This record gives sequence, structure tokens and C-alpha cells, in this order.
Amino acid sequence: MSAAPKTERLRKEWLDRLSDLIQKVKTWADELGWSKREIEVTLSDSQLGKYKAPALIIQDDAIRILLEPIARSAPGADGVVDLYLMPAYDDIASLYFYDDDWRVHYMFPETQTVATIRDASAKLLTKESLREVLEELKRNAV
Amino acid sequence: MLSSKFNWIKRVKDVEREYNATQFAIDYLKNIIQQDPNVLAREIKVKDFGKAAERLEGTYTIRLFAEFETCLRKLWEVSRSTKPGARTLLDSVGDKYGTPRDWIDNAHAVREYRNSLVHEKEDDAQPIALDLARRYLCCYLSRLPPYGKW
Repeated sequence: MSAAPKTERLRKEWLDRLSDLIQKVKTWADELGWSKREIEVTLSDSQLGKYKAPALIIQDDAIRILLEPIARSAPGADGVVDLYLMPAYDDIASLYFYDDDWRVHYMFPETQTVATIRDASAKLLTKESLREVLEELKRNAV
Repeated sequence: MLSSKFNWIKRVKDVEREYNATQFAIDYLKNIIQQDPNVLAREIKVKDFGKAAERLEGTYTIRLFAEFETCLRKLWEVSRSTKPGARTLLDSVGDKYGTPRDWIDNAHAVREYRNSLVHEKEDDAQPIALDLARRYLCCYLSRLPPYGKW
């Protein structure tokens, strides 16, 4: 397969994966009573070049979270999306796609403290695990 | 073409990401050099490597503020032809968009620290860790309009 069709296929796979994730989180946000707003970000990749991708902002009271796509692939993962606390853009958690699903890497309260989010324990991304992260943020909010 | 506020905020965050990657590489190399200083290329001295490591955060702080200031200047130039100093720029843009005074002051603290790095002033401003500088500048930028011709 020549380079251009393969690049196009990789970009479509990644964007489809992202869109599915965004749609899933939007649905959960509705169910949890959080407001949401989809935005567009520009990503740059050595293989895919520059392209637009969806991102999502969800908010409950004063807590505003950004789901931002970071990379189509990383060692051991076929997709990386980070979660940030806005407006300060503080790192909260990372989502990695592997074993056919998204997993959230976050320092959940009952787990061991580690140096980086990447090393934090991983849970399957579900409405419940997302809710845990969001509730923890609300508890820690000043 | 309309520019997105978010993309400007992301540019500031991207500087912090690059700094983290570079810091990781330096820490890794530092460990290797401690075991075997001969790994350095002949023209790179251990003390120069040490200085690079020591000044890394300051270097990236200067870059962080440069991205931030570029955003504000582009916003300013949409409707004005003057070129204010950074202090006036921060105050004017902040006031225009109802930025909380604390957030404007925090951005000034980053500006003053960056000035002390660039101009090597005797009365050094209070050092600010890069992640805190990023917090301050991103909070300030969050008050800008979502989209604009800038």
C-alpha cells in the first residue's frame, strides 16, 4: 500500500477512535449531569502531518475538565488522551488505548502514589471510573 | 481566519511539555555521565553540561512567557497599531476582558521573573517554578474571547 492511502487509513482509524471516545464521554457527562462542549484542536504527527481532532470540555459547578487528544500512538498504546483541570491546564489523568479499550491512568485515592501519571494504576474507562476521577477533583477543589 | 483561544493556551502548555521531556533527557544523561564522564563528546565539558542542566527551567520559562506575550500582542494588533510594553499589555488586555486582578498580578509575577532571567537584574524577582508559571499564564489566557481574528 503506498504511503498516502496508509496515512489516510491511520488518520481515519485514530479519528474514529477519538470520536467514539468523545461520544461515550459526552453520554456519560449527560447522565452525570455535567455540561459539555466539544471543541477542535490541531495535532501534528510525523506520520499523519497536521490535522484537526475533536476534544471535549466537561464542567460541573466550578470544576472544568479538558479531554485533549495527545497522540495516535505511544509505546504500548494505540492512542493517548490527557485529562486536564482548567483553566490552569493542570495534569490530572491520562487515557491510553490498549487491549481494545481505553484505560484511565490516575492516582486513585486507594492506590500507591507514584512519580508520574503514566505509572499510576490503570482502570478500564467507564462511567464509574470517570465519575471517581471527577468526584475526587471536586473533593480536592479549594 | 479566526484564531482559537484554546490553541494559544495549548501553545503555552506545549512549552511545559517540551521542558518536561528535556528535563527527563538531562536527568537520564546526568546519571550516565556520573558513571562515565567520557561519554560526553570532546567539545562538551562536564561543567557546561552542568550549567545547561541548571539553567534549563529558566530557559523554558523565557520561552513560556514568549508564547504568552505573542498571543496578547496578536490580540492587541487586531484593533491597535501601537506597541505597548509588556506591563501595559498585560494590564490593558486583562482589564478589557474582566480578568481577576489576582490573575493579572500572577501573570506580572511571571513577567518580572522572566525579566530577571533575561536582563540579569541585581534585584532578582521571586523565582517561579515552570508549572506554576504555566498555571498563572493559562488562567490569564482563559479570560480571552474564545475566537478572534488574532
